[in-house]
Amino acid sequence: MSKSMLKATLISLMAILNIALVQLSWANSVPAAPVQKPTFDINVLAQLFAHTTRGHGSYQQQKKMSVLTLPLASQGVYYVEPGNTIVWQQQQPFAQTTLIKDGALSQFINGELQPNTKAAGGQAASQMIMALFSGQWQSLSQDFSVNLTGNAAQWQIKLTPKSGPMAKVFSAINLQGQQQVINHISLTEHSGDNTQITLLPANDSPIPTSISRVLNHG
Amino acid sequence: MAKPEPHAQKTDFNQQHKLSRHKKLAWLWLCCQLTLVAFLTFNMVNGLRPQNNFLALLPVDEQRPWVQDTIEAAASSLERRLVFIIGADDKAQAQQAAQKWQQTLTNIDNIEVLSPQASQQAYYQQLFPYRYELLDSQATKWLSQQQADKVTQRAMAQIYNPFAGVSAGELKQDPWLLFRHYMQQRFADNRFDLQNGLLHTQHEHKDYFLIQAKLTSGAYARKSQQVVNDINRQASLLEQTDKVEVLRQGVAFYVTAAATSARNEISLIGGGSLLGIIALIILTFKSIRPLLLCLLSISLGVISAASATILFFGGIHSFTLVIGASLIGVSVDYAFHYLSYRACCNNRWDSIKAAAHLRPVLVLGLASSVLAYGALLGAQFPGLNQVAVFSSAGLIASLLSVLLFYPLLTKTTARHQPIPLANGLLAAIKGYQQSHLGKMVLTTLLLLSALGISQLHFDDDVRLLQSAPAWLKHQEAQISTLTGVSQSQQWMVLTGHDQAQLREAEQTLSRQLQPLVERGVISGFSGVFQLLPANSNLKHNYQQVAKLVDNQAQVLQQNLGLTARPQLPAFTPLNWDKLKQLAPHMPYLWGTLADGEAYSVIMLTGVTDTTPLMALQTLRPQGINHANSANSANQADNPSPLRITYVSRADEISQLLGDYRSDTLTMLLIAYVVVFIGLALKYSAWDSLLLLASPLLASLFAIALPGLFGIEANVFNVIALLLIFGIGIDYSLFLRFHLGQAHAALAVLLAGLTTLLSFGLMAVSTNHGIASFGLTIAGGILASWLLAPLFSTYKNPLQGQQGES
Repeated sequence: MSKSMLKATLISLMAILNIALVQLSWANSVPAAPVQKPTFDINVLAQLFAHTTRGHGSYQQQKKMSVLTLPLASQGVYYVEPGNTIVWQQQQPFAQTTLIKDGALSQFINGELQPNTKAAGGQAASQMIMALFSGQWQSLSQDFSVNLTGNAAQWQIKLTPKSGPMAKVFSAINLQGQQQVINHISLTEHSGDNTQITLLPANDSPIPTSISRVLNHG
Repeated sequence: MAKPEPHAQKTDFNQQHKLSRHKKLAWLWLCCQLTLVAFLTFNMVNGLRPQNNFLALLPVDEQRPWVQDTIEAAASSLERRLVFIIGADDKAQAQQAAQKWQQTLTNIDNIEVLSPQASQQAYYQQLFPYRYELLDSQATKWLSQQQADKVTQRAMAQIYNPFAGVSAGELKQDPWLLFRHYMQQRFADNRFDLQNGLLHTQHEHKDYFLIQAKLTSGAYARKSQQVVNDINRQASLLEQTDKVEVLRQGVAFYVTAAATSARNEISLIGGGSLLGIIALIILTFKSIRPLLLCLLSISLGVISAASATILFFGGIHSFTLVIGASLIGVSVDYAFHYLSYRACCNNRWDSIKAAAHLRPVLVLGLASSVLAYGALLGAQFPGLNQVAVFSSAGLIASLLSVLLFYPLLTKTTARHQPIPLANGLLAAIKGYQQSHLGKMVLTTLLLLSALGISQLHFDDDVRLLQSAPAWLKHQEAQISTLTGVSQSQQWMVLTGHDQAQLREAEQTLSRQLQPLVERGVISGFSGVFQLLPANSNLKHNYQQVAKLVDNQAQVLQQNLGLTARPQLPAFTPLNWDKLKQLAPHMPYLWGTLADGEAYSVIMLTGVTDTTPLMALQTLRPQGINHANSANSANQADNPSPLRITYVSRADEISQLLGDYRSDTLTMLLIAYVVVFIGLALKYSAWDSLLLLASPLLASLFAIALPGLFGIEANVFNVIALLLIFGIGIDYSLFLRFHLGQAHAALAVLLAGLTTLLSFGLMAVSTNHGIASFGLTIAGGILASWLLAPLFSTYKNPLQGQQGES
């Protein structure tokens, strides 16, 4: 078996777990009082996230792959209720929605639930994504080394997969944020392929109807 | 010194001659025994140990050797597997214990922990090359309905979806992401889910983690039994320290449990009998020489029994040893007859003459017992055949030892003579014969027999004969519930030239099985073809995918901006040589038989009617013939025909057991008739009737026992009747023809006690068959003991005389 095929195999092996490598930021609907502590560490940051009840906004994604002439660009809206629900709704270039709820992941295209997607990831993947969205990176420390720099006003987290299947695909996952808001996520594969996601929180505006529809039906 | 008379001289010469001939025979017998001791020692040094394989006890399917081979191949592929499930109310607690358990297993030698990642990786590595041929049902549907665009749409959605994790490598090799969808569907019904390197599930508010391991040696190897003992010890420890349950499943657990209980039972039956014998001898003969003599003839009996079994069968099963342990109590009977005779002989003791005097009756007794055991040779069950050889050889050797060694070792009269005891016993028997007690005993036994027989039910299920601790069965059931995988006993066995041929046949067969599911004949079926379809099916899929590539390659390339247009790789038929690496990770049974033929098993669940399944055996679908002819050039020399066989081995063997049970009963009836005629010719019809009355009535009582206790009876209860016949006749003969001779009464009492003890101890066996056997014999011996004196007093009204005495 060729090396590239082996890699492809490993990559597909990780198909669903990769979900966890994508992070979002969201704003706090109830702005937390800025807590200034002499030291800024991962627990402090996690505390900020812990006070978040929910958030939504829009995103832009660019996926650069060696097999593509141009990066794949997409955009859409998102909604997060930490520890509970995530809706990731792509609008361009075509519509599709991913819903994570009650530890299960389902995917809709044109409002139709896609078969097999529900069972595929299982609890593990959904829990992992939830942990990332909820700022609970510590809970992922078994497979990642977590390195936080900066201060509450401008921080950066570098998650380096050290063991498990993730380590075989990704070399680094970087998150940038301010307070309890994640602004930017970057995923880098060993091959150099990468995905960049920019998040624009819009908590003051009403939740898009397309998302409410999913929430009400999901 | 007076010159001896010529007549006396001649007698003396005769005596001398007899003695020297006896000595020669005794030496010869000693040499035989020493050879056997050497033979046994040699075998044991070379690692011969009792077998514990339950399958080895059961008949071999001689009519269908391919079925037998498949059963053996499947058993050997399963026997090394071990499954553990760690469960607790709290997830973290369960997970921590599971990680600990994984570590514990890793530290145990001769065991290999299978990581779920490695398992999944094996699947991906082996199957990825066939990604253009393996389709999920949704893709199959879309492609057959000319909706190839939907397949493209599905792939696009995944590629854009940040949660789907599509990488460049995957996209390059499988742009429509067909393989991931195929795998997702195949594993969608897996109840366990990979979490932190462990397989996790939830059931009724409890959390469970599954760990799989493999023994590096077979389940029957001694090494494996040590490993299992170690595992069981560690599991109890973990259960205590971590407050979790450690469920275990695997052939090796059953084997080890069976071996342990067999060892315990052999010690209990053998040791108990021996202690009883020692106590009886010390109490009765109050001397060391009778004790040593008994131990000698018992040991020689056991040595010969074991040697003969090993010579005939190449090994010895622990089942044989458990039943065989009773040999100690039975073989000592001959010694008791001799020793009682000696102890009750107060003048002119001549050991050679004594042996000659006892020989006819002892040989007759031996013959009846050996015939009774010998009848088991006719059974198709290797387990029973071994018991026959073991017991017969043991009894013959014991009697020979008594007749040949005892006279040379007991030339003097007995130091202690228990004549008062023997006479007292005789008086007691006579009193019992004349009292009303005898009639009451007879009436009670008859009534109990009638009651018991009216309540008697037979259950010939072979599974009842497998001794397995309840906790193990319970855990196996729990694991089946949690995993949803249970080993079914109803199989469609397929054998043929190669796996590719079998897949084609299964494809056709599954189309025939599906209507049976709808009709409720079976509730379901599963086989490897569900994961790895036949080549014809793969080819069909490939052609569909070829159309997809034709129609959609450009669309996909443009939409994604792929640098290269997707190309269709060449069709690759499944490589079964490589795929066999997957077999240990699969819940399906398939592989290669010892003779190189391929086999596979379709497991059937919820079988309600076997007739339609039997009908499938004659299935010769066109697709199969076609596949055959395609390969006919290669297999012209040695074609292995495709065989499809419905197999339900447990039911078949149970059926055989049932048949054998009725055969044994018939055989027993014939034996009674033949012996009746024989005795009637030698003595009289009345004598013959009286001689047989006690074993016959004892047998009726014995077979009634399971009915009285409300236990299901089986073939072993009936086999036991053979022995009651053999041993009971012994008592009758002795009491009838040596009645009035105190030594006979004493010997029958002692013999009865030890036999009762041996078989009575057998009744506590965890093996239902062995326990039934022991219970019946013990009951029968007790009854013949109570009955024999009653029938030895009745006088023939015509002759008005007794046979001898």
